[in-house]
Amino acid sequence: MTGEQLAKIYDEHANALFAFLLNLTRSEQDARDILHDVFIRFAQSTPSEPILHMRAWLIKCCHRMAIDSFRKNAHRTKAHHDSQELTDLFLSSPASNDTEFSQAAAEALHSLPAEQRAVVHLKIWEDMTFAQIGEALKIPANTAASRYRYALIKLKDVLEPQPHQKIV
Amino acid sequence: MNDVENKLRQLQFPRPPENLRSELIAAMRPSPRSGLRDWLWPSPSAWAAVAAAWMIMALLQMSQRAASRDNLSIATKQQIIRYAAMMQQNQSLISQP
Repeated sequence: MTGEQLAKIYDEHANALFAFLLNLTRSEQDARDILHDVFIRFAQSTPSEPILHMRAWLIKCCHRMAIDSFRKNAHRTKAHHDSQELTDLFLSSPASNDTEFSQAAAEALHSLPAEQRAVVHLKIWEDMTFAQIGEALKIPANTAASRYRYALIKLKDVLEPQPHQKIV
Repeated sequence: MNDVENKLRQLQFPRPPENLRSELIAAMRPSPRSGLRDWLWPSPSAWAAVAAAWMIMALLQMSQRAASRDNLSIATKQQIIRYAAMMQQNQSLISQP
């Protein structure tokens, strides 16, 4: 694969993959390293069969490598984990309400288990079907749907104004 | 999709670092070779041919040596027989009155 071919694929998919990795890891450095490794592996690999859905294939690689990274870093102490500064998940917006919502959303997403966060990301920001999500994350489509449902309940609890707040 | 999903969808994620793209493209360029590898690499097939020629020459030389050793041993045996016969003749001549 030439640099030009890789650049074309990078331009098409890097933003989405970086967003997915940032949401999973909440560390810009980790997301960057994983994205780098994914593209290098992709460029050096010779797949036995043609890749039909490039985005899904790359997401699968990113997810696998992010999980590997979590396992490698599992030895880190909780104190170290807590002290680590989380990268801002969303770009700041000039509207103050949006900023509040984006911060609350970032915190709510971070409070979800990684497997739920991955499903939520692929459903909301990648607009994938549960079958596609299941294939990418190597889980049954039903499991993907349940994880999404549970995650959405938690997100709504935090992000949706309560009825009494609406009245006020 | 409900309100929360719609609001979440509108949020924008940061882009990957600018230098990552150039780093990846640079990694795809063939690395400059140096030293012996650089000297050998331009014509690997030529070097393979030279190595094969050396092997053939070595095999030929070994087989020639073996053949000459066989020839030598045959010649030596004949010489010994001839020498023994000569000695026998000498003995018989000496023993004659």
